[in-house]
Amino acid sequence: METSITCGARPETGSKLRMDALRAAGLTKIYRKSKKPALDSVDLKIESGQIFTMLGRNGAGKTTFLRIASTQLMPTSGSVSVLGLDVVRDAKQLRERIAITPQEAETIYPLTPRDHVLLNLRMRGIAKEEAKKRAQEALDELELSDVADLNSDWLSGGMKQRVIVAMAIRTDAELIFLDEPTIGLDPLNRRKVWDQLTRLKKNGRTIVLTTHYMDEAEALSDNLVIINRGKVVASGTPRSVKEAVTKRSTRVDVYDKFTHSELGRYGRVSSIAGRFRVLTDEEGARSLGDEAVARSATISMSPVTLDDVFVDIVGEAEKGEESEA
Amino acid sequence: MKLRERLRSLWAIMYYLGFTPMLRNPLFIAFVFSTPFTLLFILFVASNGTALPYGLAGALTMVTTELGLFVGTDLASYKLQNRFQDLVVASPVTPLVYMFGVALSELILGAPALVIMFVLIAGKGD
Repeated sequence: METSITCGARPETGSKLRMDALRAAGLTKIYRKSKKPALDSVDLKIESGQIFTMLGRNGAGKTTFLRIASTQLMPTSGSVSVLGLDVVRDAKQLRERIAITPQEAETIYPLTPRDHVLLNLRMRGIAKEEAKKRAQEALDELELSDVADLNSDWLSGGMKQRVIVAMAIRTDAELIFLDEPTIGLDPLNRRKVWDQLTRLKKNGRTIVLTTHYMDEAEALSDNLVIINRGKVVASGTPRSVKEAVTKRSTRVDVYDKFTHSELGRYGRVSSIAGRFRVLTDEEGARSLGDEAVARSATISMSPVTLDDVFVDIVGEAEKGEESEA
Repeated sequence: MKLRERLRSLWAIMYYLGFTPMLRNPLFIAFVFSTPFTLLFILFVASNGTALPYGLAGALTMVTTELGLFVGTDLASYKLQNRFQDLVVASPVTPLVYMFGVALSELILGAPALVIMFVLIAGKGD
């Protein structure tokens, strides 16, 4: 498997002078009473001013990484420096410069969305008038103004999630960690959050987020990593990960008139929801298309997505570990 | 964080976790009152008023114990349910400011009960 893409390299911009916002070396975390490491010698580098995404299955180690990098959890071994500060040694100074949106955070009863944003801003030492102004901006940006003064308990799940995101986006933090910030949001609301993250990036902030939505990673990320069982299995730009890892550009869904073994010669075949999915190159797609026409089979073609790549990489990694065991 | 910012931080925690819930839901106050005052009333009636000073001392102890327990349950809730503590840890707020803020916010919720208790003690607790 290809895992040698340098994370953080952005040849398209050529900006070699960018500072590292985060650098992890040999980062390992083993929880007490756990036999397997949650993070296993993770090395990665995130340039400042980027949106960096961590992808992985549930329990892959994404949240553990975020918690260590945001000074909430101690690593077992290895080191992480964020904005040039060591997360263990310089935690106090670092906390002045970061903000987080925790995973599965809930609103506090009986505070309103405005109270939540104000609480976080005032708690970080921002003066009253300035905090009020910023809170209003955050609420406007995430379209929460209409419900800004309602008890948060009366809000929908999506609104509550946006309140949690709103708490982080107007802080002075140079680096913001967001742990699954769009979970439970409908597609329109997810895009509202994306817009805010893009705006923050334009303002020079660095964003590190975890997500299970591949389209989100593809749309937002400058760079990403795929983590599986505590190890980085792929990293790079969304495009480079797709190209380097699959070496296949086209996805063909075959609905009938082909068997698994017949499709094997065109590319990698997987069975998905009663149909076969073939990841192949352009030549393979063309010949499969011709054969499908000859057999009057039903097929559909589309470019390979990050979703396919994720399933491909993580599936392979899991198979490899099972066979080793 | 400078001292001024720390005080701001402390005030924000007290205000939003103490004052605001009390103003939004005055039933919180009644909840703090209910158990100690019920026992006080029973003791007062049963002893024909003779055990009132002991009752007042017991009720005051109960209110403060209750407030202490509330600090514990609220901290657990902020950590496990709201994940508010995660947000606090990864911020300039110091552990001391956070703990004081939450403790004082409970004291604000219990303040009406404590005030009444002290008034009663001053009047009858001889």
